[in-house]
Amino acid sequence: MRMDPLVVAERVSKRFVIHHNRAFSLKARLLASVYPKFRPRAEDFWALRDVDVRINRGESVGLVGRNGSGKSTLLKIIAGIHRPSTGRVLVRRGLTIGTMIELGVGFHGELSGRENVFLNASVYGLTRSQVERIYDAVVDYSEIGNFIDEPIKNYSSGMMMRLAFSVAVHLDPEMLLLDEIFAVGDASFQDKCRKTMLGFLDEGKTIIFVSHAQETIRQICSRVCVLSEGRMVFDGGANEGLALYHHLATSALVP
Amino acid sequence: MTVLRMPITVLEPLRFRLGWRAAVSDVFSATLAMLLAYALRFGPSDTSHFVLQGFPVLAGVVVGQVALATLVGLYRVRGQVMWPVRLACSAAGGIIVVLLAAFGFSIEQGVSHQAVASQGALFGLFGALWRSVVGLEVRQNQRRAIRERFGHDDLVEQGAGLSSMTGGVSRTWEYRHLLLNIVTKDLKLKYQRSMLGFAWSLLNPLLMIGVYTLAFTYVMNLRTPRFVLFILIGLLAWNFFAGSVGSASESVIGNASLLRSVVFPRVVLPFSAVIFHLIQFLLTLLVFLPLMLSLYGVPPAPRMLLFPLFLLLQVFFIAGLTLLLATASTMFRDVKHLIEVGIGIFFWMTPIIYEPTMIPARFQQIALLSPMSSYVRAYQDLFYYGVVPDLPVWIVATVYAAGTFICGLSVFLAYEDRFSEYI
Repeated sequence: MRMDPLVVAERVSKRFVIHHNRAFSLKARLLASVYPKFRPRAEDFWALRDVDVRINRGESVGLVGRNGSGKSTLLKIIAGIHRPSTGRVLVRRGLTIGTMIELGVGFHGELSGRENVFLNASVYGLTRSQVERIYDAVVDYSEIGNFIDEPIKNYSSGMMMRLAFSVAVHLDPEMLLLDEIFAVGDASFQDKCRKTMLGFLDEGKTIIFVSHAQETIRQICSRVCVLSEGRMVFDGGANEGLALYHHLATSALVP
Repeated sequence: MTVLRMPITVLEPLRFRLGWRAAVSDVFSATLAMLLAYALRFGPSDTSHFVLQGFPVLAGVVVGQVALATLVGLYRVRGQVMWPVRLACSAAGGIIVVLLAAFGFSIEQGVSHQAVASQGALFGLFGALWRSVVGLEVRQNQRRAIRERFGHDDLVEQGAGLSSMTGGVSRTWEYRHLLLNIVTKDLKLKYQRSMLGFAWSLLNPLLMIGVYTLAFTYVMNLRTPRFVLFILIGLLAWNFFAGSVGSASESVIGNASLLRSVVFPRVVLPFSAVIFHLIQFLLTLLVFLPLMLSLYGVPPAPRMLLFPLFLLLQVFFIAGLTLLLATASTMFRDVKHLIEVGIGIFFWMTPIIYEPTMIPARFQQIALLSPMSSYVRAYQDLFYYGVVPDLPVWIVATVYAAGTFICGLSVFLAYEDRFSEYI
């Protein structure tokens, strides 16, 4: 495979400020500038420390690690939702990135499934005519059928998630960032999702995938990055990576 | 990475990072803007005369601007994105100081209230221009550094270019369908499943007008002729303002999950709030205004064609203020309460239920500087008094629109990449 980096993260660190007393008010800020003792008590939390990673076109990378290891933060920084505190992330000019981090955000219960598809797709930057072009495929894929014209507050949570996932799948970006979203729908729908992902890879798309589901990662990802306490501790083949992750996850149980 | 941190060649000393340098640059640009404003107001030949006369005021303005910026702790903060706030602060500080001076010492020579307003706006414009030149230089250097490292410049820094003004505008245009969809959704949700539907929007101003008419004409015996027409014009324009500004904080904070999981230009959110209230304003106006005008026998006149122009200025002013307040209330949670208080106070400082002529003569000019005054007075002139608004109204309306919009947009764009952490 030709080395064609889509994403280059260089020494990326991310610090979150955790406020212990009442968070960021103007009053506290003004008081603190006069009396230092009014300074709000805050603690730094480094979610990521000096992470270097390079992702090439056509790769499927699994990000694994225990809860709080920083994998979702890294995904969000690559997506451009958070900005790194230090270091930088370079992406290929004009790269279209699809994010499936939280499904169905912006869905509104009072609106019909159809209206929600249009609203949700426009959040990802699609124009009206672009949505019209994919609309039928979205509805077919979601297996919602005639419910599409019902207000989605009448949907089951599985139906809602299926619709959201279906919109996300049809956005057709060059790179997909997925955060733990395979818990969607029943077994057969999950199987369909997996096949879709593998189909994406066949088309030469790039996938970065955050998950705890080792079996799914083994099926989809050829490369695994293991994060632990904000640092990248492993970057390589899927099997070794998952073995290390398994070791980290189980050793945590021992006090 | 070390490449990137290299000094930004010539402009490095002017990047406004550290305390005293930033303060010095602000004093410099404030003085320059003030002189420019004087030159524009009095013409180049008289400027030197007025500058000499108004020198204490000029000094006061500069000190006031820097003092306000210091108070908010702006000069202690590292990082180059703080400059829009400094601009806004400086402009506000300058205007406050001049107003106090004008009140306290009744200095009339060398200072005019229009000069004050234009000074604030010019300061903002000047600073924005100046800093965008610096921003361009920084970006070019980044590009060069990337080219040196990778041999091509196909890679760009994630999120770079978001906080530039032109980048912000062009990205918003790309997402225009989102804007449209959010506004449609809000309108639909408001009118769907409510028994009276759109009638609700008409009922609200109707009831308010009823109450004010009762209180002012019958209880307090203030006889403004054609009172209902008069109050309608001001009240509808005010409702547009109060509605948009009031929903500024909610527009961002209320969409927390969206901000945490999808990348899209955040300006869409406050803009959609403004457009939502604009549509409501236009719809209610469309129903009431022709009705009232025909009821009171006001014939249509060519001057009424100026209405769209002032409406446009008002939209820009409100959008700018909404952006500014949306940013502030996302970063500081208590700003929401300040906005509520402010809306309450400024309602009474705007000639909506009293005529502008009822204001004592020496406060007339200053009263025009209250946020919505110029726009409300323009509408009243066009539809109630039947005259074309006079020059001060034009100046204040234009300056407020341009100044607030530029400041609001640049502040919002400078902070939008942090919203995901603050909510």
